Amino acid sequence: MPLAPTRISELRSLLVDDMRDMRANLRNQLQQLGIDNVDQAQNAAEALKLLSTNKYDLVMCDYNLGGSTSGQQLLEFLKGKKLLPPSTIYFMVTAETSYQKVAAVGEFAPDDYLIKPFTASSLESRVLRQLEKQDALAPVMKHLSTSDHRSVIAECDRLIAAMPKYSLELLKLKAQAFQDLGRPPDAREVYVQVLAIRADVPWAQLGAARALKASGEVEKAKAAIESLIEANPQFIGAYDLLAEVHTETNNEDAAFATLRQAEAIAPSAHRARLVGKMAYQVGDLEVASTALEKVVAETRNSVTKSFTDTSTLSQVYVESGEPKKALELLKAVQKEFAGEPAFLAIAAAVESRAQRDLGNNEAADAAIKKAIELAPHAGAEAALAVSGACLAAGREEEGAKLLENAVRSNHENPRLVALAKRVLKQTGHAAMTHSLIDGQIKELADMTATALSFAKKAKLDEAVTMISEALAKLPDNAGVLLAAAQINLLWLSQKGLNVEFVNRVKAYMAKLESLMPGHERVLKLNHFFRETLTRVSAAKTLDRAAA
Amino acid sequence: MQDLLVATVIHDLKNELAVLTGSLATMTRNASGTALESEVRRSRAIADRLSKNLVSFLTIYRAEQHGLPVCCSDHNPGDFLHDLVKGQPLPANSPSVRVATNESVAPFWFFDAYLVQLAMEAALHNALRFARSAIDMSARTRDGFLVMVVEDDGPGPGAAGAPSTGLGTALCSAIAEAHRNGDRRGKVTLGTRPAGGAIFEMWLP
Repeated sequence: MPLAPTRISELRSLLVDDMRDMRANLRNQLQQLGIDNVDQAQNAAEALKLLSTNKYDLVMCDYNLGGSTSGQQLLEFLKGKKLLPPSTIYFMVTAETSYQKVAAVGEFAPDDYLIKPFTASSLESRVLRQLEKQDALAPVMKHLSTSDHRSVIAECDRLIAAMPKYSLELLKLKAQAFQDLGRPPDAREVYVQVLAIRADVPWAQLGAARALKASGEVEKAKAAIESLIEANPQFIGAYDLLAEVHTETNNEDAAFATLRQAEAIAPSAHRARLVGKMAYQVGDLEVASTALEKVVAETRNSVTKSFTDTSTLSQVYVESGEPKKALELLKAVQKEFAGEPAFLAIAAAVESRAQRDLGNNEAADAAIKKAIELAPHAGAEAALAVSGACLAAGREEEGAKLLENAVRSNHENPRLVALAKRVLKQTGHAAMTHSLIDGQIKELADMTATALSFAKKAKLDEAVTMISEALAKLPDNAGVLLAAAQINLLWLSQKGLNVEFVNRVKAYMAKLESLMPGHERVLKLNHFFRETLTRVSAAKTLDRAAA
Repeated sequence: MQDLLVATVIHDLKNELAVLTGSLATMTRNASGTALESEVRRSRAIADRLSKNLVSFLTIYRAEQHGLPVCCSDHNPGDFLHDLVKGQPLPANSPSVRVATNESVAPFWFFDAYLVQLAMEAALHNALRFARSAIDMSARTRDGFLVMVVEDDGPGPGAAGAPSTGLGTALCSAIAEAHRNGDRRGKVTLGTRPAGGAIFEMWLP
């Protein structure tokens, strides 16, 4: 390998292991390779602290960290939060008895597994191979760092031919680039190409299923994931995708069951959080409180702490007839989350319900006033909590209004719609479900559908007028915005360049990106937007040249 | 119960031995150029082999109890063999070990690198016991299989000589057969080279 031995000695390294002897042993091995710049952490929290302030070239992390967070969970968290630059080599250290179990679970795989016991010499070989690979893939990574996905794809194609031993890694990057460009069918084709080489590559099976889902072929995606899970029951990423599919098809119970299965396989605060929230949504308060209590306890001193765990748990308590527990919980964290508008609104809503349950009507009235004041700036989920408090207190008009608005702006978000239905059911207002939720959704869907059908029949001016009306009523609704952007783009591509339309689409896209950041449909539309612009500008230039 | 006890004892022995192997590795470096060098190198090679034998035993034991789960990812066969040989502590007077990869070998293949390394190390150690002067390791692709080969210039299979427990052979078979691709599964073969000596092949689907 054409690598200078000095390069290895310059690697800044981090060791993560709860056993001091093991750390000393690893440190000794690194020293044998000439690596002296070594930091150490004895648990995930310490590692996280070091990783967020320093940049490491090499991280060696034991799978078993003694505490509640494993090396795999740390890796998933780091990758999820983008705290691990692609240039950092991450080795997972495991015992030979656990490595197959460990390796089968992760969608986020480390760069390599080191199975204990290993020698300094084998560690050196592994590091050198990773450095060699980094050098080979550097041109792709350069384009990736600037999100230049087209160049990523071109560079992957070039390298697959030039350095076929990295084909799989390159195909994975290429497929991801297609996903990021909002082109799921192209991504799927790449995954299918991988599966033709080897039919049982779990990440390619998962990627193909995800691409199917993104292309709207939800049933096919579901079948693909289910067979993937059957062959790899430990593969956690598959459960996450399956839960998403169930949620999208409004099958809450199945989504809930899937999340619980995943938590049983790979318990973590993150999974307990997903289970807890879903349990609350489907009304299983017992499971919800167990799961959320676990999350709150485990993340108390961690960067993964989130106010929503506490606020949802307080809702769970008050709805299970434990108002005192709810108030105690909220009191304990009131300073900590004082800067979170959503937390404050939900806390006020819960407080009003709890105080009323305890017979303190004055305190309850004060709290609900505060909640209503806070609701407009606190987001849809908080608005639903406040709506629930209003409905429970007999303030039906205010409650209904809040709920109606929240649903209007989010009728495409199945989780929110489900939560809204639950609020009505839980407060004894299930009879209002049709007028407040289903009827609303239908009206909105009808307006959007009419506009789209105008567009399909090439009545583009009528379509633009109709969707603009819908948008005037609901300026923040993602579904209407998506249709509006699409219709205006169709107008542009049929009728030619028009600055007013271009600016309108730009404004829709900006709003969509803040409403649904990174969502496949938004990416896809953005791609369509750029293509349309290029095409109509070129046409205009040609017209001028002809004239 | 007795099997379990044996497995537990061996597990502990293996861990102790790993510490010993680590110390001997450090000593090997420090003894370089001194009168102790060849003695320390030999001790290290023995400790390493003992440690691998114990791991082999445990792997077979677990395979018989619970089956052998295989976790495949893509590896370059040439890189794999080069790194494997590089990591072997060999005694001073050992036969030379050469690695050659056929030009036509696939650039990557799916296998469980940890298990296949265990198997190929066992095959290499076996060859080291019989080889006169040289061992050749290579990889090629044949009939849709990756074939990893260890050849030695010793007396060939079946020859009397160093006694064998059969542990290495059992390990290699178990690991090869645990590798499956569709309805095809891996296998190992042992034969005589045309030029004399033994040829071991591990076929991975």
